[in-house]
Amino acid sequence: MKAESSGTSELENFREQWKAEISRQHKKDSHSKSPATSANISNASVDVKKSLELSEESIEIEVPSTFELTNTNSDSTDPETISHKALEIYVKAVTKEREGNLSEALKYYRQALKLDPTTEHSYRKQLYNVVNGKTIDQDSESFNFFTKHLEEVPQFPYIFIGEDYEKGNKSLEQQIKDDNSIFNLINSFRDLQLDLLPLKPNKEVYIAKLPNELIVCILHQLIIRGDVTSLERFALTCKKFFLLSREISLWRYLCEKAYRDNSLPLAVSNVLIEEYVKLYYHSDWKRMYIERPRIRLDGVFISTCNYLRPGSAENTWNQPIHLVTYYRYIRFYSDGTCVALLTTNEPINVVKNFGCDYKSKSFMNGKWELSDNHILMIQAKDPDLRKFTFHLIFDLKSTHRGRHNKLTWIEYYSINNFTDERTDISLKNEKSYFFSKVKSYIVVW
Amino acid sequence: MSTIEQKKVKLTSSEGTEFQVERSVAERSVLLKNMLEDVGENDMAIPLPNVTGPILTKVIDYCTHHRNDPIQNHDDDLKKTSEDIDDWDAEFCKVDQGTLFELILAANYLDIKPLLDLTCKTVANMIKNKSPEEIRATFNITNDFTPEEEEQVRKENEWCEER
Repeated sequence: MKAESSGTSELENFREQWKAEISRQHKKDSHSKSPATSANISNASVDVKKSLELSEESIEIEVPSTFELTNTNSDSTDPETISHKALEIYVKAVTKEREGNLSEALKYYRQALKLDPTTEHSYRKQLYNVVNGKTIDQDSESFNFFTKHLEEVPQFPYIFIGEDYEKGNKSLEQQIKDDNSIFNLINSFRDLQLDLLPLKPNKEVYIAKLPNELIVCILHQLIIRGDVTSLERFALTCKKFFLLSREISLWRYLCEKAYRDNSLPLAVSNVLIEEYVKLYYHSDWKRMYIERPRIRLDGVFISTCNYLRPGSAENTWNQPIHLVTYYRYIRFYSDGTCVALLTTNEPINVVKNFGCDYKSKSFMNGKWELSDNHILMIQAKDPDLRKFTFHLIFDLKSTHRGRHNKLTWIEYYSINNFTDERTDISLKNEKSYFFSKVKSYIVVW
Repeated sequence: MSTIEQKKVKLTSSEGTEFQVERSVAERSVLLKNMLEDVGENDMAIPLPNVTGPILTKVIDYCTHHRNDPIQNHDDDLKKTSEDIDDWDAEFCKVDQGTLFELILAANYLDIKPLLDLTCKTVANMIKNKSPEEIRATFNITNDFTPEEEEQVRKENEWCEER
């Protein structure tokens, strides 16, 4: 359990106040260099100090001893080092916030800002430089952690703030327009004699020796584990490969795997899938694979939940509140099984090893089934609670970031295996699950 | 297989070089297997005008190493993937691109399915997780899209970069 006490809005308030203060300070004193020294802090208007003190009292953050040391020595330390150190802590804070661990995040934000009130500014500056392809303007070695941080961040895109995660609806008109343009494109290429031209004229194009059907053989090997991204990137290389990547047999293979009904023999399942593509997608297998809901197997669904728990007080005028963050994970397999986990362990420590043989408390093995293309039903058992079967029912949804990557709760209940008694489990604190792709997961079909 | 020495089969590469292999090795190729069954015991060399000497040497290497493998059936091969290329096979595929594509052609012509899969997998691994620019550089091919066309294709393919 997290020992610190605070609240989400506290964090926001604090950042707002701080930002306002910084912009004021910048206007006042535009050529002050690195205002990290204690002298500068005392120069800053009283407001910010007050608010710092105020929130200090009301939240009671435990500050690790390492920080205390740096702080007390700060007069004698080089400002460069301090701002560097502060940025490092700030990066930790951002990482924690992205992981959904607000209470840890708050702790680090406060540490960083206490060390150097301009940290957020320098963080943004670094970010801006990296995004715009400039090199980081400090000596590269000491800023390695920053680039590393940026590489790590997109791996866990499951914290969703604001509209980013609302589903964007393409209008039907736009859809038809897009479709037409791609068909026109295909037709215009079909009439051409498509040769592969060398990038470096003095070198040979060996792949050009292969007839089309052998290039398709290679593409089959490419998608054998459902790696469609590589196939689509291959399509972007040149006209000829664009056409080959649309080869029906490839997309048919993907559909037959993705929509396999495990309760039926393979041949029957395939016949049904073929009926479906004719009926709803004009036999366009690629369209079906993109649009028809399917459970993604190349990653993990994560739900991040926070709740406040009143702590025990030593005296009457101080009532601590604990902010608890926990995570729910589900990973699906093609054979209709899945694994689920409830833990306070952060994704970075769980995701890599999360699978059938994961060892932990509150770990469940289950079976899943998708019906009506969007209702996901899971039946799961916890080895420590053999008496019960848990039923989790979700709605599979799409978001602006991608398709079929969100699970919203519909129902959660347990059945006592001996008495058949049903107990509903409260969904009050529960949040939707969001999908994160995990490169190391191997899809076995 | 018997302990007595097997009957050798003679093969001729495109340059006319003659190769002698044991029958069990030659039979890794479905094409040769069918031919041998049709022709019966015969001392005549089988001409392979589509395969050069160096490539035929590689193919014989492969077939000799895998002579005792069980015959693969179609359903099994889906379970095998690029991750399970074994060390010998991986070493075997460490050749220049020219040779690799010649091997694909030869495996296809001689109908040696496991060799075709192995070589195609090797090429697939050269495509995997690369950007279009990197793929072009790998195979030495030029982008022949106009900027407008490229944009259209990119738009249509956007979905797969979704998370």
